[in-house]
Amino acid sequence: MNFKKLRVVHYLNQFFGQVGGEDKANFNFLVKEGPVGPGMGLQRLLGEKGEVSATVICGDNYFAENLEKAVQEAIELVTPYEPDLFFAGPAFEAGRYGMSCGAICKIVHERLGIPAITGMYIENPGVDLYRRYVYICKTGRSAAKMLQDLEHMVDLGLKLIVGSRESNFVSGEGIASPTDYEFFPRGILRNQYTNKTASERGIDMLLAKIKCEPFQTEAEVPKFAAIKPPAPIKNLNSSEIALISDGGLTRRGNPDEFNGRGDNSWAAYEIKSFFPKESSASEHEIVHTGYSPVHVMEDTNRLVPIDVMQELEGEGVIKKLHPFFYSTSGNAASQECCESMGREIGEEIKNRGVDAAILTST
Amino acid sequence: MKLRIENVDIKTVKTGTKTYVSDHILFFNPKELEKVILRDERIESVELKVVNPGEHVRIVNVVDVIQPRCKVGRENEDFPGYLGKIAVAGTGTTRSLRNISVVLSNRYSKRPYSSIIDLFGIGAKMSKYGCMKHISVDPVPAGNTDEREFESAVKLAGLKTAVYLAKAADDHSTDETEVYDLDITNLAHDKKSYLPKIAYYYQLHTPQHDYQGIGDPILYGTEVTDLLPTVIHPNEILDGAVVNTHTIRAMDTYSIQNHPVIKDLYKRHGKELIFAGVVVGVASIEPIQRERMSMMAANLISNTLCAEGVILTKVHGGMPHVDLAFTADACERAGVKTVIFVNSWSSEGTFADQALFSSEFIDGVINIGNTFEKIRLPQTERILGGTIETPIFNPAFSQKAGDGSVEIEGFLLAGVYDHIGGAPIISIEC
Repeated sequence: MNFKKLRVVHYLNQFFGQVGGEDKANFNFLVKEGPVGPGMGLQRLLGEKGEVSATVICGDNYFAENLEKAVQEAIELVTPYEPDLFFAGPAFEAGRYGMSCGAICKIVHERLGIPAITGMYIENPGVDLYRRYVYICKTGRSAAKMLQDLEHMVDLGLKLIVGSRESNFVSGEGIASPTDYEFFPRGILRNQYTNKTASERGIDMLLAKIKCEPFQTEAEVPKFAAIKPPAPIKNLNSSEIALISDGGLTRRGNPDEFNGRGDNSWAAYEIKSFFPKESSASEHEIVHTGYSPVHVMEDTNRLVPIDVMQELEGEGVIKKLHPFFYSTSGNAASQECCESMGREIGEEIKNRGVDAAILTST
Repeated sequence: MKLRIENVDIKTVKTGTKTYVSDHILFFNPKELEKVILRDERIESVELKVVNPGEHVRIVNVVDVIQPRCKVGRENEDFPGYLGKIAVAGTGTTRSLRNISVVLSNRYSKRPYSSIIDLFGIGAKMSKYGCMKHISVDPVPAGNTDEREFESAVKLAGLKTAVYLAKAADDHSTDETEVYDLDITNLAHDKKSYLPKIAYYYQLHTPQHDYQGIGDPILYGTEVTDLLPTVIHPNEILDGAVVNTHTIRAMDTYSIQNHPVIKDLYKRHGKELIFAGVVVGVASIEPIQRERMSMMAANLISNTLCAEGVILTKVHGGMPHVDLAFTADACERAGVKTVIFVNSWSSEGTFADQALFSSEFIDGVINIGNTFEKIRLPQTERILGGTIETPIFNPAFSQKAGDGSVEIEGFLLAGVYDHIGGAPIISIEC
């Protein structure tokens, strides 16, 4: 096995870097050779496996107020040391410190391709901002259990160094699992190999459930927020109604680049030009891998019921069918995506004076 | 009902002038098998190739994988309803060849996608088929054969091959015998056992997958789109009553023949649980129908099978996911505890993003993995079942079988992910 000593660089703020307190929060970068402050703890934990060759220190305020410039300066200071592994903080509950740790780890990982790890307390705003890009270990509120927190960071760092050689992920990636290492899930999902097949696990789980023994579900059921529906329309015959569809109907050739699965875009189509009087299937396309488009291509009214709406308009049941319909491909898009698309479409039609929308699906 | 499966392990496959198994070597005469397959007038010609693990081969346009099996001492009862005459599957003796499969390709299929199998590199490592020997069956349609007719002919060719190969081991010794003996009718009234009664709900199909609106025959040779929840014996599923549709979506006939949940429930029957039986059902498109089917299924499980707990599995798709949750919910309300098997379908976000249901009763979920997680496969030297120009499905871009590298969603690499629980995989938030 290769026991090359790992080159490690550490980032600290002015306080932990022993430059000063709040009075020194504005100072910009300084590099000290070897470990400083908590870095000593890092070095002790690394032992023979690694050497903290340099500590990069910066004032919290300077970093927070000059974020873009600061990350550039930081990466220029870190790169010459050619680190194999990078640590920042831990920042505990300190917000500005958490932001700088997150930002610097992000750029180090992106530019140098090495594991870059920090630690924060769950309420640190840096957690939500950076958890998708950076491994953030869970720490206590304060430095009271610093050594334990550093231990988690080092363990994770060493695991990531070993990487794909010992991966038990189906993709073979050298990533870590938050069940084995103390970090905040980064918002990704990956398949992992297990000791038991799904079938074996399932029967175990069911037997435990029946016997009222504790068990751990493998997927939490979501809790949806209750959304208060708006008041119903008082006078339908003076209302303008828009049609919205998630059936993936678009122009042939898919010029708006709908995605057949996991779409996060939508388009507004002028009904008059999208459905010309003598239209045929050759002008449209369904981009949606979840259903057979055969019936809709025969008659698009089956998906977007323009014909019925125009009838109702003619009869005066509604005042007007909105001249645009809104289309997306609603197949396996994440809840977050759907919510943001819904908000955008909602804004748009509200601004156009639409009173209500009918969403037709497949 | 009692079923004996006599397994013969195949170590090597060789082509020769006669078909027989000796000393765990399968000698196989492709010309003779060809004649059997070409009795079907819908097939013009067929290419049969032996493929071994480690060979630099990619089999494309794969529409099914089948384990060689035949009934012993029963004439014309193999895969009853498809190949054999109508007869109950799941009793008597069945011979089964292990470490070998029939891989069926249909290069003329116009369906949106089909699967692939690699016998080399990362694709072989990931798939349970990567270490087996295979007979690749690649038929050509006769001139005026209709598309659907040819699909049926292809499936039949695969089943015939499976039977033909299994019959070759007629005189060979058995390596392992499995016995599946379950008398369901008596269990419901068995007051003596204190073991929990566990049933299995097998969602067989979803009509959204009916190609051009017509279902594929999957139960005793018939389509199941309008099937109401039905009690069938687990042995029937193990013994050829159920075959996969004409598209592999993390489920194929081979997996069904070795149904993991059924086999595991049998293994633990009498020790930790009583296997109370199986209900099969089909996902519904209409909400009212979904309610009706869920209610009927739950009622069969709780009042006919008298189960205290039930395992539920689904097929590929979002609607099946919703449907399964409805059925589980109905079971819980009927007093039956449930564990459902679902798959994730995105590499980003959390589970909560991807659950298509919200029921206070569903607290036991097995995650079989993200069946859409992408796999990048290296270039292949040889292709069977197609050519280097064969398109390999990817929703984001077009690519061909012979490309320098090929990226597919996991469910299309046969033998990796498994809706019926056979894979040791889980999807985790990380």
